[in-house]
Amino acid sequence: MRKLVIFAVLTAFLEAWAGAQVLEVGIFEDITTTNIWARLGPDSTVWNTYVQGGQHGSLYTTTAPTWTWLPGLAADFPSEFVQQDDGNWAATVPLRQDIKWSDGTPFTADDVVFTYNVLLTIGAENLGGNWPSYAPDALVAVERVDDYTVKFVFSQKPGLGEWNFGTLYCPIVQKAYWEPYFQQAVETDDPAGSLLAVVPEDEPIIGGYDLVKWEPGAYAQVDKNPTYYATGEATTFYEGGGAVIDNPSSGFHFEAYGGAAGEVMLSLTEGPYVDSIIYPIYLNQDSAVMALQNGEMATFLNPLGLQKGFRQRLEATPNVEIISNPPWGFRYLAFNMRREPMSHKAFRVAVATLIDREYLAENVFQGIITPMYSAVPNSNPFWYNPDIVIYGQGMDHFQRVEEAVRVLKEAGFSWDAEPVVVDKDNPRNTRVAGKLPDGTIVDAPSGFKLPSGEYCPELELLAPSAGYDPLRATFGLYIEQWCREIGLPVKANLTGFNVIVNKVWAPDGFNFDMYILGWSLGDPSFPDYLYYFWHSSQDVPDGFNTPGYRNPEYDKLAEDFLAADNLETARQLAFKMQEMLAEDVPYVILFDTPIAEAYRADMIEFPYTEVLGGIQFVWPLTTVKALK
Amino acid sequence: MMDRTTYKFEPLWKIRLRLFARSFRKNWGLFWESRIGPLGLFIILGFALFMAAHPILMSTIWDPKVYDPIMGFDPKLVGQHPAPPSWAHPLGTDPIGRDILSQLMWSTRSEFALGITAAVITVTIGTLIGSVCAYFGGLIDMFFMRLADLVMLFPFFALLIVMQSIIPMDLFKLALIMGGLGGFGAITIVLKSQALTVKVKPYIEAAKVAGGGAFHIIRNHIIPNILPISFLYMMFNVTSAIFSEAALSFFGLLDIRMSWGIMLNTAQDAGYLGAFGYYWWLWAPPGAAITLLCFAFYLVGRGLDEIVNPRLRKR
Amino acid sequence: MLRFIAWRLAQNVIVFFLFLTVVFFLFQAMPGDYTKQFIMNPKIPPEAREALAQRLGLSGTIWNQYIHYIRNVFTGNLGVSFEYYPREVWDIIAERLPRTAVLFFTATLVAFSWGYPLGRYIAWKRGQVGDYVATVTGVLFYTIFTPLLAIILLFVFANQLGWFRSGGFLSPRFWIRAPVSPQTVFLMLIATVLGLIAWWATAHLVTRRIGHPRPRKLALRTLTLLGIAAAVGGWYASGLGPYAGDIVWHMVLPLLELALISFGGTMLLMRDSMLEVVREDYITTARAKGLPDKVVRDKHAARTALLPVVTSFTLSIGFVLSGGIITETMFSWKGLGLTYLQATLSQDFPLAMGCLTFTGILVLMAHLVADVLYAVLDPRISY
Repeated sequence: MRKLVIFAVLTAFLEAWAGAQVLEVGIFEDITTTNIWARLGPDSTVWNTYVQGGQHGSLYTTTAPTWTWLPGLAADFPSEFVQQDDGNWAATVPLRQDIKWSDGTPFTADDVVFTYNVLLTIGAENLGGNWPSYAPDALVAVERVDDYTVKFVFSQKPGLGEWNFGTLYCPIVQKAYWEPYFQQAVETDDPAGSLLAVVPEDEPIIGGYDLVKWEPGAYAQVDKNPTYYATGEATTFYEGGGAVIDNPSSGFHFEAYGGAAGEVMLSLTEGPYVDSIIYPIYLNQDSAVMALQNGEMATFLNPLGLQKGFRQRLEATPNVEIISNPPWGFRYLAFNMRREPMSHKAFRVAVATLIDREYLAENVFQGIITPMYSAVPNSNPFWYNPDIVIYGQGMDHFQRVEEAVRVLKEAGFSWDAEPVVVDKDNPRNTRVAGKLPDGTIVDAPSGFKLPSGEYCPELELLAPSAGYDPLRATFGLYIEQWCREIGLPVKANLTGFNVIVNKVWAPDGFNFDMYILGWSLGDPSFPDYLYYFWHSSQDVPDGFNTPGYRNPEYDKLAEDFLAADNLETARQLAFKMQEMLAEDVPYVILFDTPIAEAYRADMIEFPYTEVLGGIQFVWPLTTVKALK
Repeated sequence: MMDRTTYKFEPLWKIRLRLFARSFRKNWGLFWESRIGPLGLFIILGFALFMAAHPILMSTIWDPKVYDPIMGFDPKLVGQHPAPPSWAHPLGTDPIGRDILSQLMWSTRSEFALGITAAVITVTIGTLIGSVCAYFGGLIDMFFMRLADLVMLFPFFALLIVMQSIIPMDLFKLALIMGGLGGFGAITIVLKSQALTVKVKPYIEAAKVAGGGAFHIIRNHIIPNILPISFLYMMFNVTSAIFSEAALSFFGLLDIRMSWGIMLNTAQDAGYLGAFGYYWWLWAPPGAAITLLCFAFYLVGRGLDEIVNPRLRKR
Repeated sequence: MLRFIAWRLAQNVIVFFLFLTVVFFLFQAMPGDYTKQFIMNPKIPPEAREALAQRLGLSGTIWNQYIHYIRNVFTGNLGVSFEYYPREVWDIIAERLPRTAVLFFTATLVAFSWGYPLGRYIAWKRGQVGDYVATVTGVLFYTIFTPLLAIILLFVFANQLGWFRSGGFLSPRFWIRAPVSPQTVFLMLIATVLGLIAWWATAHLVTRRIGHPRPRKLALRTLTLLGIAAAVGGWYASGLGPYAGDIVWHMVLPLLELALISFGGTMLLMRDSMLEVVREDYITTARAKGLPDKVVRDKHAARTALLPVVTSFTLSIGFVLSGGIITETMFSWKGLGLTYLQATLSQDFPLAMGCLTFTGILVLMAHLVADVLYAVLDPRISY
């Protein structure tokens, strides 16, 4: 009875607001701040980005699903860099003149200059988070040329990584709103701290949606910006690789990469189409899945994708559509190359040879994981090099064993009882046994010795526990089993994420033998992690080169890669780097899981559903439509 | 009082044994009469048999490659995991093809080990401290009582969550920590007050007069008299230890490879927990096992309560 | 009496100080620190993490940090959360506490109002079939694996029957144009529940003066109904009724879970306590006087037997945090327990320490109240 009454009241309320289009999109954690400096600084979480990413704009953006680099607030591509008399390098960026802030004031060069000057004055490192990548060390000054032109000055000529895919991605804030806070902040002892502490209210925005309500722990609500400059603007991608931007209301037109050549691949017309988007917070997937089944929300954003069980349940629900997209990341096994025997390439190659990703993927995990081999996931065809060494490819289990033993012996490793495959004629009984020097066959191999003749110490393989990630835990257990089968003294230690992180990045340097973790990667249009993960300059405490990979040849490639000023050169370099990594195996790239997502086809419509990383990765806020 | 002359030539241990047998018979009768105690005991015995059957099955009809609780995998059912119950897998398989029944049986052993280890530690510490505090009083008493107050200020489960992030925990460490925390907590207060009632008994005074040392009196007079209560609390502690382990495992906070809590965690992680009717074999066996074993130990505890606490008896 | 309270208070302050020390060093003993959270992003350079560590007060010697922390707590400052930087921990606790409190108090009330009479009843029916059935059921509810019960409730009532929502504490869409924040409504709900209890207690005291049982009962019931009617009317008149209704609607499942579990405990405790009291001499006297069973049970035995139950209720305040963790996680109810769990796992030390410290204060006060209650209520204890 009570239920009926509540329903009646609810329905009455809902009908009163039936005029407004509302979408509910579930998220799993609360936003933590409404301050943009904190949001991209110490509080940078994916949830903050989902909810508030639509408020600000940057000069340039990459546009999903093609990951084309296009102007955002800029009117055209930046000029080429020219060296000035003082030795610095400068380039200019023209701004669009048809853009207004939500308070009605025009967007001008002052806003851009102000934003970068905040970073330069306060120090991007002090703000932390993503800010340092927007103001690299080489950035000297950002100056106003006229109302709609900005000049960037660098102490040395920046490459693509620092310029196109770094500095120019910085979100622009309104000078008029932030200047007073900034002035106050610089007068304090801790300018960054006081800027981060501001709780903004009614901050003018430039993007399609503004955060209007945040009920901590329950939901956040964004409303559409009625004065959004890009409403009705069409971005069209052509088969020939060209892209065209057309704004019918202001007449803005831009084309690049060959323009309208070939068939139209996709045309995106900017909204915003929905009056309000509400992000209710669900704290576990089960309740979110039930809510989706009950039609309580249109979809939910989940960086991990849907697990198999959830997918199976949702497949049976009418009106729920499931999409699956390749991931942009990988899970990997890393060796500590500062220690023996991981310092021997043969040892790493042997372990890599033993790992049968296909067996696990097809049998144990039954298709819920995708095996991976290269340092760039194959889901990104532009950067992925398909032509690399894959140790043990195409071999069955016992061939892998024999190959691994051969590689190890060749490098001088030895055993007291050497591993041999016995009973090959009888597939049911085939197994790995040990062979003593006198030819006697014993149960198992033993006494694994380093080339120096010493016995190999026990090696710890850190992997996430089954509670944290059952997939990586299972991989860890299998790798342990495969290694022990040929007498390598590897012991899996399945433990918590924090424990692994604190051992790998121990305060006094890297303190591990081997570990399994995962990376989710940044901007797919420029894989600059190729530099950070394996360059020798990152082999310092708290650096990112955890294996301690030091290869001058690789260092050179990586430096050139960051400094490259065009994509084709960068791509060639990235291909060479991938070959080298596959050959030297500081990491064994293992696998990742496709990102599966579900949505109510009767409630929401996406402009596209095939995109790297899935809808959660791009969250096409201003092109999403509501159907109810 | 026993008539000594009649049993003059009987050795002391025989008398003790007979006395023990008699009191055991009497107490067993009371325990049996409680009805709930025996119910719990039967369930526990059932679990013990269940546990014992696992190694036998593994060395006879179960192929370890298929039925190993952690690394097992049934290649015949590829693509169908989690497979529903069948003759080969009476409780089906989990999302990565392992036999549920085997996991369930294998985990029983660790649950028993964990629960009993933790409870024994708790009760040993509690009994010792309780009796020492009661006997000596004064500063020692004050110290341990305030320590108990301190431990009781920490919500138990919340404290375990902090502990697991300080020390990566396997089952044994978890048992030690739970046992220790429990031992210095509320139980010392209960056992101390029990020991206090013993301390004022005339035979303690008599023992003192006869020249018995403190250690002797505590060991021979106080501890035996509070032991029944300790034993009773042990049962309740087993329940709480098993429950805590399951909850921590369910949240993915322990470094153990298999347990009932991990089974539930696996089901939840792969998204099968809320899909009730369809995948019941993933959650129902471990869920029911945790509940049943906790339930059983608690019932035994309550059955014992009726022996120890005469006021609870029927008439 | 006053001397006793003062002595206990002094002891409690010392214990509390030790408690703070243990909490501080527990969290210090955790490996790594919060800035490690950002190690996963190669674009955050080590200098930025260093700057963050300084801002969060993670640099400096342990001893300095310890002094700083103790001084802060005693001046009522629990610090600033890392994860929600720069929000104050107090602010976050104040936001989450009402949600937990409303759940906990209502669940206890429900559990008590069923567990108390039922425990009283089965104790009186000692040894009969009803006693066994109720005891076994009580034990089952008390020992059931909490997440399992949650999933069962969610599945039956949210998924299959569709009566309730599956998580959260309100329907966002419904609140879009609400005139007040849910926080206000929560506080008002707590006030209503507490007000009703106070009203009922007053009514009880007032009507006790009426000698005759029948008019007394009638008056009590009328007054109780009046109170409820006034509360409902008040909510209706305020125009916030539907909003309160929405929260209550979301509260039903977690409430049911907590109530079922504590119901088992309360009933068993009441039963045992009652059985002990029944053996007391004055009950035998009352029976010997020929008073009817019901009167002896309700008037003489039950009142004294209530004492351990009330004490255990007071002591279970710590359950607000501990018991909340599982239930709040299962039902996406972002209260204190869930906040604590997440803060600990993400190494947001000030927030996690704040939750523990706050609970510590609550439990300490509860212990003190329990001591005093015992001293005041039980004539057999004197100080």
